[in-house]
Amino acid sequence: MEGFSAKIAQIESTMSLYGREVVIACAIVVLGLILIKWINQGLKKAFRKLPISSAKGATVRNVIVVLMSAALLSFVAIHMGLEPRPVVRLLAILTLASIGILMVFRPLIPSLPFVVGNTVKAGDLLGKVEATTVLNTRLRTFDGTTVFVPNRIILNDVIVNYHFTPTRKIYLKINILYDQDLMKAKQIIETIMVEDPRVNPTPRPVVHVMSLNKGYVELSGRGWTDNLKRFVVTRELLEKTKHRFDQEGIILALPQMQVHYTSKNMPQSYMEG
Amino acid sequence: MKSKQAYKIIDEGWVKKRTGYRVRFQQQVDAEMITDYFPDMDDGPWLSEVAIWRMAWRLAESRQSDPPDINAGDLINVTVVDHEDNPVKYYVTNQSEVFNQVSIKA
Repeated sequence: MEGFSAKIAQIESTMSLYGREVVIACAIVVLGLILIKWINQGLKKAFRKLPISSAKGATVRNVIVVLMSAALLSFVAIHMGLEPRPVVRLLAILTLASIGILMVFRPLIPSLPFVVGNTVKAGDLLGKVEATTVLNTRLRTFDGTTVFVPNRIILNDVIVNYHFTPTRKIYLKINILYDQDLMKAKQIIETIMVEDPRVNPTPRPVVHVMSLNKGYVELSGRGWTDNLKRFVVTRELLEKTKHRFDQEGIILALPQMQVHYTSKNMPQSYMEG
Repeated sequence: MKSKQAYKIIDEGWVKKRTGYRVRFQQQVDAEMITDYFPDMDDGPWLSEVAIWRMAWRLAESRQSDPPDINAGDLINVTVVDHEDNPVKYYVTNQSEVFNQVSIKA
């Protein structure tokens, strides 16, 4: 009990000596943090107008916020009566130590396989990464839904990042009847791909006959295009192919199956009917 | 002949890869008929043939007057051209197509 009273008395004497400085320092910290938050929001708005990516803008803002926070803490420490030189030294040591630890342990820290602005497929979700935090990733799907995906799920799941490789293969799957002009059909598909500005000239577009045993001739036109344009390019090339086939009189085939019944394998119900 | 040479001949003589499309139209401005383009020459051309033809159709359908009258601002002789200003055949019909066609006296 005596020890407790002694501690209370010690706190009282400390507060009477430094209480005013502590209160002022706390007020400076609170006001400084509010000011830093305002500046951060202002920078965020300003960076949106600049031609830099949101990821780079966020990095620059984070660096500025850390530097301003360090300056604030130094100012408060000096205001509390500490010598400026040791404070600067301590901050420099802490900064260097942080950078060193980051450099050593960075490869061991699990990182997300995308950055803000990437278009990714995570599980059944396809969308654009709007933000990442320590706990979750904010994904905006193409129908406008905002989804918060926990990072632990992302780190354990298969992720497709459509920004990782700039180009991707397109497949134009078209089926024609057996009696149609196969060479003309191949020529049309190849021409449509070659003349489109979005289909890369190399590797050159090609058309393959994929199979003949499905009740039709299965054709597949293949070329390469920008990863992000692939969806639209494929649909538009299919539309142009349909029109060109109509002009040339080439008839598309529907998936079909021929079933042959003989009296031996005819179902009983048919026999009775 | 090496394959590089063969492909060079094909690229120069066979189907030309277009680098973009624009809508070319005429418009009456201050009693004078001018030819203009969409997108503007300062902007890049559109890469989608399907989208540019749809845009041409929309621009032509926005005409306020009935032929043969031309109101100021109406877009006439609307068609699609390639990067070299050559008319592009309408992919739906494989024929030359000009929306709101009006012959202009010289």
